[in-house]
Amino acid sequence: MKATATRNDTAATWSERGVSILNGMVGDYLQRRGNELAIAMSFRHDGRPLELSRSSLRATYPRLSPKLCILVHGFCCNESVWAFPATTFMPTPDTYGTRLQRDLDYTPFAVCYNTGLPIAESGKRLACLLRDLVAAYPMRIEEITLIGHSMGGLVIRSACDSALPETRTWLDQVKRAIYIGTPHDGADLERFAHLTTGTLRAVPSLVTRLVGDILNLRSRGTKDLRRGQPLTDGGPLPWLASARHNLLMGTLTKDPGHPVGRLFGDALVRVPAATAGLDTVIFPGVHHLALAHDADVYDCIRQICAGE
Amino acid sequence: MEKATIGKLRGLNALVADALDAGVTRTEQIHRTIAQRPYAVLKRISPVAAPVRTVEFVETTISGMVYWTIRLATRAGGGAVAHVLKQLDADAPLEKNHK
Repeated sequence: MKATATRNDTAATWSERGVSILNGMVGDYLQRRGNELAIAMSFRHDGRPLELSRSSLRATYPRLSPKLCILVHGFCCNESVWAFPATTFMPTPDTYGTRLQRDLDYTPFAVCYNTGLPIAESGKRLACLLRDLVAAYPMRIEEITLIGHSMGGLVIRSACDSALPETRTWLDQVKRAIYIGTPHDGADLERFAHLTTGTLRAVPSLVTRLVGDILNLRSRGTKDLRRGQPLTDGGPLPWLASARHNLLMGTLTKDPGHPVGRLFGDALVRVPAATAGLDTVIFPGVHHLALAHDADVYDCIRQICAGE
Repeated sequence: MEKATIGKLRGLNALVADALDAGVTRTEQIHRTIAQRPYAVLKRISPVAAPVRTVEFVETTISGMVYWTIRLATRAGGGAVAHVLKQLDADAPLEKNHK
């Protein structure tokens, strides 16, 4: 019986991952068409959307804390990216959130969203979701720590920037933001895709134009990764002045100064050039996805959150 | 089967239908563009211009009907799947509420 449940859970997990990848690729199209595969932004618990009401929060978290940590996943992922690899079946996966709950008494909330939507749109939705969480939370919140992996970091910055007066209720509680493998200076892979698309469409041939058009179908969320900020807004995304910001980056090579590590970063994202005034920690030999569930990265997050 | 799963299947069905429709339309455009080139050359030669126009009309009509049939079959298939999913959705038990 348990084996069947585990097998079904695995199938459901893979199906959820497939839907998340699809959302990353063409999520804006799915949203526009009202397709039921489009993911609506929500907090997830045990793979299901969490209802934001006092009773639901009390039932889900028997021991609530005035300190919250919000985990925002990256492009083409969902909240399962935070799970440490488990050798045995665990009803609730071990994540940075559950470890922060155990070690520093944080209450963790993992966001799941459509990564194909423009980053500015996801930022606005996150700002509204956090407003609703603060309104429903059964006790006074003293501290909010925002943790974003990859695109999630950009969504966090966008949420802090886009919070309107009526959605700002949570902003004063944000004490720190931790960006893990976030392409603040843009992602090279998307720059390459942009260049390839432009070249293919410029060649006066039906076939190359067709391939270029197909490549250009990629979502607005993907295209926003080119500069590491919403393409529609002129200026760069500001950093929330009242919070402390930490960048945790990985490199493919054990030696972060190695030319390959400097050139390819963590395989998808390079260490941003302009990190002046921001605390940056580099994890040699940790690739992009592994940054979301790595023991050394967690130790660093714990130290940051503990103020050590 | 849960309503959420049926919803996803419905979404997948709609996405596949959209992709096939767009694929057929694009293939037809490319076919037309390529096919027009020899006709354009042949139509400049006076003795064969008239029969070439007839052949072009017949070929364009037949290929247009083929593409139309493919589009119709795709939509009918998508509609049939959507109907089955609608039936399943009506019979599906209400979802378990989270906590």
